[in-house]
Amino acid sequence: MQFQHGTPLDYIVLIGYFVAILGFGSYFGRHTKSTKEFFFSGQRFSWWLISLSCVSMVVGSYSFIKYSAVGFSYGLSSTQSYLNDWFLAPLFILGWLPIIYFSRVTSIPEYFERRFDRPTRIMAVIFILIYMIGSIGINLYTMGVALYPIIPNFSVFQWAVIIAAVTGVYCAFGGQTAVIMTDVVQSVMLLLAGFVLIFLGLHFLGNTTPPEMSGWTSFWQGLPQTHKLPFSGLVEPAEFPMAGIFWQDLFGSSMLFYFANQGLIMRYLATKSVAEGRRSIVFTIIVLMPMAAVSVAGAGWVGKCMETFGALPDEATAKNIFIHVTEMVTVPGVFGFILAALVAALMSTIDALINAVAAIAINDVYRPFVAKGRSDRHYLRMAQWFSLGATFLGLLMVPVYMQFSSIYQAHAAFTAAISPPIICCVILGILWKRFSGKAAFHTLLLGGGVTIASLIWPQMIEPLAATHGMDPGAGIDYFRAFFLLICCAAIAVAASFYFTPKPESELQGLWVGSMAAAKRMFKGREPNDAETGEKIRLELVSIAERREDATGAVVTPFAEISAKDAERLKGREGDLIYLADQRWYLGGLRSLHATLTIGGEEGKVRVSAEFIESGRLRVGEPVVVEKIL
Amino acid sequence: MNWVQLAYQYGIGGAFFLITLFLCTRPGTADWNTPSDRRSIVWLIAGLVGYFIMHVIWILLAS
Repeated sequence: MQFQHGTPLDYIVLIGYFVAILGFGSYFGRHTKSTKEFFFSGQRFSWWLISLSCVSMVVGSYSFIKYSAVGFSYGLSSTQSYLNDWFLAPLFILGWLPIIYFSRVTSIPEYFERRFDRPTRIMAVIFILIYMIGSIGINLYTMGVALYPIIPNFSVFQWAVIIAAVTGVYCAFGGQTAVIMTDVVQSVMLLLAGFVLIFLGLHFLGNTTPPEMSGWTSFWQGLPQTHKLPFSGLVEPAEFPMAGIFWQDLFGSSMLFYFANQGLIMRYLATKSVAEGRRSIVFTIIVLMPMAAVSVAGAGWVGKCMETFGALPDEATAKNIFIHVTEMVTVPGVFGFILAALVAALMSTIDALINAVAAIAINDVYRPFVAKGRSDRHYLRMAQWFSLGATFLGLLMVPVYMQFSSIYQAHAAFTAAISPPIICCVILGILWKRFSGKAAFHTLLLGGGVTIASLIWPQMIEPLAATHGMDPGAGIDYFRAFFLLICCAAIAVAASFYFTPKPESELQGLWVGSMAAAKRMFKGREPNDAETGEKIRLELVSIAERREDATGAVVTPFAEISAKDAERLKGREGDLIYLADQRWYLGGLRSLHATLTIGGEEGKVRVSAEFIESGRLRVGEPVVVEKIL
Repeated sequence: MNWVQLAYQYGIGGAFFLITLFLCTRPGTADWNTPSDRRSIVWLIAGLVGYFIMHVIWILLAS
């Protein structure tokens, strides 16, 4: 079935959105002058900015359509995929985040080389690049498939070209800053779009049901009893069993997202500190994920109520419920906005992938193997070319996916094959110091083999599915992630006892038992984090002389602060501090890290002019200063 | 009702949560004496309890 909803006003809204995103990305990316800026935005951002930008990574191109369909069929339990991530939080917050941040790794493969060895890194590079470039193509393809029935003026491929052009341009020229800032806007848009749809849907229900019923009452009474519950049946229905969703989503998709998604890792490496990253992930999982769960499925819930009250046309099905509800409750202009939100969901997924491909291409292939020892300016230029190249390669995949559905399925199978071994290597790498390079290599190799075998002979999973009383065949796919994680863990443990582990001295800062060493290496001195000081406002004073500290893992400017102000910070000579523009809503866009040195007048902080310029701070104005480590 | 599903999710998920929390707070890892680590541990436990309470209330309201 085809829909013809687009009015001129809807097109104007959509075109306006494209122009705004291009302008926004270019504006915020114009200061990108180094690879650190291009990939990690100079590690300067506040928690709320990163949290907001992450929502649009979670919500993909097909989320509104997929979860509206699930919400229509199974009710509020559609949220269960979004509401079980908290179980992974300890490992991410206390393990993975501090390890990647303090060790200053730039990519997952780089972590694999430092934690394991070079062959493991190379294998990870191959796996991850194929997966990510294929994913760019799949996202472009699914977006075209989603948009074509709504606005058939453009073909699936033409939609993919339009979106690839806009995304590729701001990613290539603006880097991570442009990606983060545009993702913040896109996250707000897609959350807002979902809530606007629900609000309009409730209004619609209020107008179509008896006058004594408000929109909310109609909504609650219109949902069947089973649709009101937070979980579906444990093993039924076979298409959406709670136990299957739990294993597939939590131990498959969510683990891959939090522990092996290069885009997410780069997002958290862009925070100003580990503490800020932790705040961000807490806010994301506790506040924003539930909001996203409601936003993407709301149209399906409203659609179910419409069906209960006989207000839904006969041709409406779960598959097209999002479009039907949108058409019924919106007016021209608002429809265009909802459409723009759908596009936003896609673009924000793709931009993270493009930036991540460029990061791996530069940091794991080009810099170490192709062109060693070149200037940072050269690598930055190449990163921009790699971003455009990744977009183009993804676009080339679209006609392939369109013609050969087996390629699409092959990519899905490949993703399934690499996910469990990579997840297993990351998690055991974090937690177990005995887990060696050779063990990791064999886990990737043999684990991938077992995964492919399970795709060819799915009956391998049947005994595990049967433990939950699921019929052979019905719930097998849901238990694949669980089955493969068990297999990969068994291979990893057996190989770890067979091969000699790496000496502990070479694992400092790379596993969870060496956090103190990680902080020491990051700072270059003993960490000072036993006391939290105040955040204080000081006047920024510029000095002509370049004064920098090269003790730590990166060069930082010295910031001179009086002894009295340092006491308020609970800071000591040599501590890492952070100076930010006093306007909180900039989220760290104008800021820099510095090494504390005691001296000078009270109420003032003195920094070399050159560094002030790189942090985009304004001399003579107050800055907020805080101790980091 | 959803009580079996609730027990399943919080039984298995909760066990994974507590084991990883234990492994990440052993000596040499996150430190209770460091304010940032302490805040994170408190938030982690509060978040788990919060999610659990939310699901319980949700089931009761839907019943």
